[in-house]
Amino acid sequence: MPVWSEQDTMIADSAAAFFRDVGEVSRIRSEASNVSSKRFFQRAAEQGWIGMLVSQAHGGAGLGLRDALVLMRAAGRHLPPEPLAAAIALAQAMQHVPELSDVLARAVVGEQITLPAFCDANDPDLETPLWTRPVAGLNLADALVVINELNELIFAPEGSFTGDTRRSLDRGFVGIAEVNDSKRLRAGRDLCDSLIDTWLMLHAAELVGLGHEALSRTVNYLEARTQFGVPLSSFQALQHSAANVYVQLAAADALVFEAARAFDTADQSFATLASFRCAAAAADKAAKEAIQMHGAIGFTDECEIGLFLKRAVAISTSCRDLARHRVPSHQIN
Amino acid sequence: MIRQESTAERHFRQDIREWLAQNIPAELRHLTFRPEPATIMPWYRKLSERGLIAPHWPVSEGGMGASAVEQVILMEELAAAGAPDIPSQGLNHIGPLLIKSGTPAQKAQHLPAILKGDAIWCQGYSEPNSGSDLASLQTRGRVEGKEIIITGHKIWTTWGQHANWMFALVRTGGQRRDGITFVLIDMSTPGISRKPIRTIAGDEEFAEVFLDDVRVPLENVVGSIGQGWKVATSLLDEERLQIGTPLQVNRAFVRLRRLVAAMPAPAQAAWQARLESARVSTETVTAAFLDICERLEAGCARANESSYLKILATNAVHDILDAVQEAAGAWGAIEGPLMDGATRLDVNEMYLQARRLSIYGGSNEIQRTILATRILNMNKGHA
Repeated sequence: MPVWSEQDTMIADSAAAFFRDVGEVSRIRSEASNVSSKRFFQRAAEQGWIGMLVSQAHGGAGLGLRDALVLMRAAGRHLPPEPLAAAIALAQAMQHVPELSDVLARAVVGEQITLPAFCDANDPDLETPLWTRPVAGLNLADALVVINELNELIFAPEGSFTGDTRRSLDRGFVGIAEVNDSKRLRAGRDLCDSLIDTWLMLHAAELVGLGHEALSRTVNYLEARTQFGVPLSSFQALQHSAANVYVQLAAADALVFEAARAFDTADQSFATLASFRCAAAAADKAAKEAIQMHGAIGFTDECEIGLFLKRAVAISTSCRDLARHRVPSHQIN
Repeated sequence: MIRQESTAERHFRQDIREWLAQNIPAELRHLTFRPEPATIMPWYRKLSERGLIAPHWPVSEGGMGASAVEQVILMEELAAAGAPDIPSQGLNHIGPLLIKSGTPAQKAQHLPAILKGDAIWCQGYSEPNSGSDLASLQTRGRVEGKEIIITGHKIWTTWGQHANWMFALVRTGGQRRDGITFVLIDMSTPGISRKPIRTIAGDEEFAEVFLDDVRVPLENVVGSIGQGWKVATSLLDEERLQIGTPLQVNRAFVRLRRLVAAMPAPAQAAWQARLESARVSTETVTAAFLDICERLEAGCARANESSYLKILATNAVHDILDAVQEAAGAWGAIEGPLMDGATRLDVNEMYLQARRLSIYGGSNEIQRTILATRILNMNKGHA
C-alpha cells in the first residue's frame, strides 16, 4: 500500500462513511433493483464521485487518477454492482468531446447516467440497428457512448436504444443494447485509449480493495472458528494460504499505484494492463481462498464471502472487452 | 521501472549506461557464478572508485545516498549490461549494521575497507543444528579478561572460504535469544579452519567454518555482551529489502530477452506474450520495492512487512527462469553455458543457483509464518 497522503485518507474515509450509510455489502443482499441502484448512483454523483476526474471548469471536482484509485479501492470492499468505474472514466473522457457537454453536465450532477459500451461493428457507415456487446449496468443507462472495433466513439442518446438485461452474478444487471439512432463523435483514438486505460485502472483498484476485504474477513473467521480445540488460525497450512494471498494483494496494491505514475508516458498501456492483470489475479485468488478457508459455510448462499468471488468474476469478465481493445503498442525485445 | 523519470534521473541512467558499457570487462559479462576474489575484486574496486559501490549507504559514511528510484535505475542498468555479482555481505549486512550500532572505532576500521574492497566479509549465523531456528545456536563464547574465546561450527557461510572477516552470533550465556553476543572475527585468527561446500549449481558459493578456541578482543563485540540478537535483528526489514531488490529478477528477465532475441523470427513472435508476462513480474517486484522503500522512509511501514517482498521477488525469479528453460528447448538440459564468449548465455547455472533464493535469509516458509502472525495477526494470544 502506498504512503497515504492526508487527501488519500480523506477520500478513503468518506467512501467508507458513504457505504456505511447505504448499507455496505448487506445492501446488495436485499433485492437490488433499478430504483435502488439509480438512487445509489444519484448519491454517488452528489458526493462528487462521477465527476471526480472532470475539471472544475466542466463542473467536476478536478481530482487526479490517484484520487480516483483511492476511492475505487475503498469502494471495492463493499462490492457495489453499479458501474462506477465505467461512469467515472467516461465522464473524464466526455469533457474532451464538445458535442457531449450537456450530457456530461447531467452526468456529473447525477441527473442522467451515461455509460460506455463496446460493439463489434467496424462499418464506416453506421449500421442500424447497432448491437452492443454485454454492458454491465445497462439497466441504469440513460445514454451510451459505444466504442467500435476501430476504437471510434459513437453516441447513443436517451431513447435511442432498448436493452435486454439479465441479472449478473454480482447482483447487478448486464445486457445488450439495440441502438437505433446513433451518431459518430469527433474524437481521436487517443481519447478512446485513455478512456479504456482509466476504466481498467479503476477496476484494478476496485479489485485490490475487494481482495483485501475478502482476506480480512477470512482472517477474522479463522480467529473465531475453533476445531480440534484450537482456533483455525493456529494451523500453519491456513496461515501460509493467507500469507500467499497477502503477498499477491500487497504486490497488486503497489503496482496499481505505481502504474498511476506511468500515465501520460510511453508505458501507460503496459502499466495499465500489468496492473489489471496483477489485480485480477490477486482478487481471484483472495476470493477463492476465502471460500476455501471458510469451509462449508463459505459455500452457502447465506454467507457473504461468496459474493466476493462473484463480483471479482463480474469485473474480470466485463474487462475482457476492454483489454482486447487495448493491445499494447510496444514490442519487447 | 514504469514511473516517469525526472530529467536528473534520466541523466543518471544515461551516465551509468555509458560507463558500464565502457568499463565491464568482456570476460565478466553475463556470468551467473560470482568469480573468485582475484577476478571479481578489481571490478568491485572499479565500482568503488566510480562511487557506485554502496548506493543505499548514506553519503556521510561514504555511500551514494541514492534514492530508491536511483537504486532501481542502477540495478536495471547493471542487469542489462550483464555486470557480475559482487560479494555483498559487507555492503548489505555488516556495513549498514555498523553504521547503526557500531562504535566509532569499529566504523573507522571496517567501513572504508568494505567500500574500497579491501575486506571481504562473511556471515556466521547458521549452524548444523540451527537453521530456521537460529536462536537455538550453540557456538560458545567464553569471556576471559579482555577476550571472548569462541568454539563452535558455522555452516552455509557464503564465501566463508574467501572472507577476511566474519560477523557472527555466539552464545555467551542464557537461553534462546538471551545470551547471544554479536562479534566481529578476523578470519586470520588462529583456531579457524574452513571447508568450501559445492552447491547443486556446481560452484563453491558457501563453506563450513570451524572455530576452535578462537580469541577475539572484546572491542570486537557490537552492542554489548548478551545483546546480540537485538543487534542482529535491528535492521531486519532493511536486510529483507536487500534480499528482495529487483536486481535478480532483472537479471533473469535479461536472460529471457536475450534468449528470445536469438530465436528465429516466428518463434520470437510466439514468445511475445511470455516476455510480456515476465515484464509484468519484473515491474511488480520493482513497484513493491519502491513502495516499501518509500514506506520505510516515511516511517509508516509496519515491522516485518518487507517479508512479502522476499517471497514476491523469489517467486518472480523462479517463474522467469522456468520460462528461460522452456525457451532453451532441448538445450535447456546442458551443463554449463549455452553460448560462451562475448555472447555468453547460461540457462541452467542461474536456474539451479536460484533454488537458494527461497531458502537463504529466512526461508520463504519462515517469511509466510512471519506475515501470517505479525502482519495478519493470526493466532494472536494463542501461540
